[in-house]
Amino acid sequence: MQRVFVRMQYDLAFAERLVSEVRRGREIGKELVRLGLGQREIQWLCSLDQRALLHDPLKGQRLLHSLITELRASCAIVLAEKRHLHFFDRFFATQHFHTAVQQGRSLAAAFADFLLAAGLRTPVLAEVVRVEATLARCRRALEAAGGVDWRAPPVPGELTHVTRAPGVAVARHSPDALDAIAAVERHLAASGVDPLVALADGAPRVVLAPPTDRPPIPLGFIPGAAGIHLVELDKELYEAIERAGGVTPVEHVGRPLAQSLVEDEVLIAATP
Amino acid sequence: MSAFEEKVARLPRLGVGISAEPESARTGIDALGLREQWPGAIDFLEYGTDLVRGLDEHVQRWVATGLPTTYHFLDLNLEERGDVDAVWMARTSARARAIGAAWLCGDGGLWHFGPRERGHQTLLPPILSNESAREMADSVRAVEEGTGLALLPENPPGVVYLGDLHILDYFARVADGADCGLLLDCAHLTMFQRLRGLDALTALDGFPMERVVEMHVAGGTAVDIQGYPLVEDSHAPEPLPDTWRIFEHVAARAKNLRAVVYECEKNRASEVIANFARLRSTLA
Repeated sequence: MQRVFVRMQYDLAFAERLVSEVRRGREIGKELVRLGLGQREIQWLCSLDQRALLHDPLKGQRLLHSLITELRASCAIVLAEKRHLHFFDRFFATQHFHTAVQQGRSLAAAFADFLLAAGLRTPVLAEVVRVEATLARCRRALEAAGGVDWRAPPVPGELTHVTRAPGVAVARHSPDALDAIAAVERHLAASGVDPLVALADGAPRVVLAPPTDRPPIPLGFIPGAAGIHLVELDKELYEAIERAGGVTPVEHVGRPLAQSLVEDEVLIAATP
Repeated sequence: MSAFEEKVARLPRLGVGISAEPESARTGIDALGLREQWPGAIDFLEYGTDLVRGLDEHVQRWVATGLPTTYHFLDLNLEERGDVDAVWMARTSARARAIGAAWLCGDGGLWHFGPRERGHQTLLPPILSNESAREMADSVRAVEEGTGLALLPENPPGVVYLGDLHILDYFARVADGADCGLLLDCAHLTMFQRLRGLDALTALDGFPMERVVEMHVAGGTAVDIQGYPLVEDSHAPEPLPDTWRIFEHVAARAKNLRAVVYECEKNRASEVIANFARLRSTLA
């Protein structure tokens, strides 16, 4: 019920539709029943004074701000193409948002899915979104394990099994995506001298290199002191970390490499 | 002596305190500065934070003087038992102990939706039903067992309260189910009573006053949204008259009251100092 209420707060059109359709016995009322709400709960939701939902109109903007901050290269590319901040407001009316809230999933992941499904033309956008979505996922995995307080488990005398440390991931991505992220960072650093610059007619724009057909490169998402770092890996290292996606016998990774990665806290000792 | 009486007997009497959040002293009131300028105005600091922001230099300075603190969490959904995980408890307990907190407290509701993430910047009150009160009581028990610290759930603010219980009856059920103490926020209660069109003292006659270990007092601002009257939890300098009424009524009856926090850290000290004196004189 709280989740439906959250959806109502961020999507006023949904709130209005919900109340009017429940009153008319339409489909949305049946959806609420499918979500496990009883008549009593549905009545509570539908009898609330919707003027209360107008309180704090900046609530959505604050949430968007945190999502944009996390997927900022992706959002910079979106803005370079769309030129309208209102584009992001649509997120709250999408199934990506509603499903994420209803199922208790990460909103950053849902926001990434929203950007991927938005049908934008910039070729590199999808790859940039995927890179930033993985970074967001790794941050959460590390935070859930204890964040800065996380400590690797002790290494047993004989290492038999390993798994990835929290926040570690591997993926292959186009070098175009990395170049685009670097271009956005350069742009933001240059225009960040004074945010007022963005108001000027001749404000600098994000300049992206044309797409290339370079093959994807193997990347490691590795936690460090300043967050999750993107590191280009050689083939052997990439495959070793990739194999340790779950609890894995050391022999599948290669003992010397596994031991070295455990020392670096990229992998950790595990028990089957 | 009941289990609760034994528990509350171990809690220190802290007196009158001020709230703080990460970086609040940079633009608002520095608790040590306040104490220096007005000796005797405050006895302790209630530090509100989440795991991401942690402890700031203000609370570290306060702790270095040996003065008491309490730890107010800003990142636990007490209404969701599943949100009370071992990692949160271990990290929160470590931070609370690092500042010598006498106990944990925090609004009983939802600070985030879905997995714990920063930036949701929301605080939703619980659904005021028996089922929800039972779940919150389970959460309180789990936190107390997992951290070894007393936890005082607080009645949260809201612009809408869903459910059919009065919020005081809801928290009475939580306290009964968890056998815990309570933090009564008088300003939040004012918001609730006005939204329901009730007198400020409604339902206090059935409220377990002996469970009230801490109280909050803060300023509120009446606003009108297309004719819908609300009280905003603005923490403006001046508490509303109803907030004072509630405070004075409960303070006279809460035999286990250990601490009162005036949530005013975002204002200028000169605007709030007289209210500290009023709180102290009420408690005397």
